[in-house]
Amino acid sequence: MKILFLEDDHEIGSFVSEGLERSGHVVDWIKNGREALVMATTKEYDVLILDRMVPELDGLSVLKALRAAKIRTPVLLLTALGDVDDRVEGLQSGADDYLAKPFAFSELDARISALGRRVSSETSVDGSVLQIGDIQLDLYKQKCRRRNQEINLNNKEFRLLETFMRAKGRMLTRNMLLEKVWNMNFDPTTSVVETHVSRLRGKIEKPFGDTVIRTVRGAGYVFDPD
Amino acid sequence: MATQLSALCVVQAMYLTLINALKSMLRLSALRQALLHTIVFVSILVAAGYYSISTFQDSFEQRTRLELQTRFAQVANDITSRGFVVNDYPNIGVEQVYYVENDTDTSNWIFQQTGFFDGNDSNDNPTQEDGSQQSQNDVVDGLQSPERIVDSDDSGEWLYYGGEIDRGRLVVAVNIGRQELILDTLQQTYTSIGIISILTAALIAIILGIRNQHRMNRVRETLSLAANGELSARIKPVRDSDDLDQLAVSIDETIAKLEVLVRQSREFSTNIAHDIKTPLTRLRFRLETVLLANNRSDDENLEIRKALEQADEIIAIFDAFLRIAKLESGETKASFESINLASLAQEVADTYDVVVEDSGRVLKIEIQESAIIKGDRVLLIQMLANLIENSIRYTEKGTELKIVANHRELGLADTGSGIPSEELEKVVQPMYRLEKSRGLEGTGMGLSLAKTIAELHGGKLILSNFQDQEFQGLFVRADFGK
Repeated sequence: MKILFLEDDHEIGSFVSEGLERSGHVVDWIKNGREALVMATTKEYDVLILDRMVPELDGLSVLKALRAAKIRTPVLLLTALGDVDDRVEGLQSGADDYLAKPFAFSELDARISALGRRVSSETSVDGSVLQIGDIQLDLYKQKCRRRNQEINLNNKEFRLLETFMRAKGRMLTRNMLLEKVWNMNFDPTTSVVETHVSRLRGKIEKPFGDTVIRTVRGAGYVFDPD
Repeated sequence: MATQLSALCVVQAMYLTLINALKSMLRLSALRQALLHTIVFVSILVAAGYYSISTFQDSFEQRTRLELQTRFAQVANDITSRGFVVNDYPNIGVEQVYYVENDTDTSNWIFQQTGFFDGNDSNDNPTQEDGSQQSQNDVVDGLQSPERIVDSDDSGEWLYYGGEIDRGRLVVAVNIGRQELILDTLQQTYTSIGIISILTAALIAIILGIRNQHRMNRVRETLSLAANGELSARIKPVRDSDDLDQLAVSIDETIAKLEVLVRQSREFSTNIAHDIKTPLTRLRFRLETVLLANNRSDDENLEIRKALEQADEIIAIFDAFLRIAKLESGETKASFESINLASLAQEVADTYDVVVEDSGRVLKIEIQESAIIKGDRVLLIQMLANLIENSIRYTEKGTELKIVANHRELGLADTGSGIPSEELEKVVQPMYRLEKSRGLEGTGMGLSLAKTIAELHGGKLILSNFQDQEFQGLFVRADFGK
């Protein structure tokens, strides 16, 4: 993917752009907002990563200017503030995702991938039924089947599996799952995600003797039934 | 029947509305003051009226008596010198004179009724031999005091003076209806002044009260806006004439100063956030880079992971601190929506039951009565999550946890050892930790953040150690009030 990265801190900038390039992306790293705005309006990008506090024109203003100019490229906003209302403000201004500093690189990487592939989902949706491999999720009846065997999932496990299936093959971090499944944009000190994932595995993997959810150590999970 | 009932309801509702309106009017300070002034004024008026009427009455009566006595003496003198000339005393108008010779009939009602000539004559008999002046004095001294009788012919009250003179008996009467008339007029005047002043005072008070109430409301609205973080709110008094306007001006100035302070502190916390988080981000990335290089032993990698965890803990404490500060300053506008406390409790229970179970404890939920409050869903979830995580952290395995949603209360009870009662107040302070919990993990911010969230919702966080037949432990609940 082609990524525009707006960040004024040299060390963070070089670390992130090197990391993204290692993951196979092409990165334009820009250090001030005005230049970023010019680049974003003149070139085609798949994803924009904008830091909020940069010289000349801050990331939020760049974002607002872009959205006002009807440029809909997915934007991930980076901020050192990380507060609820900053988050809300960012999303209301047209950001597609939001990440508070300091963050783990894997978190950023996972979110970038999610943004870039937002449109092309490999999951087949037939009416209200989601199907990947032999796993079938009926969103309307809230029922899950695997190999024609009904699996009893509780509310949260169902939401968790649905989130995984919709992001097939892509890494989901702990924080992404907390936001999507539990509506929590704070970091619980207990292992909410880990516990629920392990329960879900107990139901959809254990009886069938295979692995559909892969753990990426220190980073997150990938749903990949193949 | 139904219409009667509904009519009754309407009447009752009107009555209640009226009572409430009266109650709220009584809260108007201007009206209260005016009422007090009116009461004082009317009391003075009543006292003054009473005093002047009784003084007037006394002096009028005294004067009349004196006049009557003088007249009596004059008539007596005339009779002595010229004999009784009936035509001189026509008994019309305000004076009546009755005279009978000693040897004639004294059965006339006037002599009977006035009673001047009953009983022992020796005492009453005036004896006058020398001169009119002398005789008058004797008459005055010797007679009974004048006596009032109401005449039967409705011509009003009369004052009589009677006594024996030279050869007969004389009674002189004067009409005192005049006096009553004046007294009545006086009383009416005072009553009218009283009523007019009460009405005027009440009217002025209501007008002033309503006017002041509008201005007071404006002050109150502005202050509550400011308290909710809307620091651009101002009263902006139209005039600068009285003390209320001056008060409004000083309140405006205070809010303006507060606005500047809050903006400065916001910039300050933003700068701190930026200045501390940038190096923390670098630190994290450096550690991650080392980890990714992948040329170290597992032991070394474990150490690096632990260092990363420590960095994350610093960030968590710092985040919680900033968050509390922002929520408390009213700077963060929580996005309020209608929230069903029971379903929120259920949602948190669904999230945490397995976590609590894995930690070797039990999570239950008790919904007594559900209520809907205006609240921020994410913050309320966080509040309850903090309480649960605290319980997991600070209680023994086997402890029972119970989420309680009761009407407008939401909280968590556990069967742990509780908190010493003298520490109950302190544990909600940021970074405060009980002696026994030092060295355990955790930011020390959980309860403090819960308290801030409860207060942001207009409620309060109540901690109590409780004990009943089956349960004993700590109960922390947010009471969202009315």
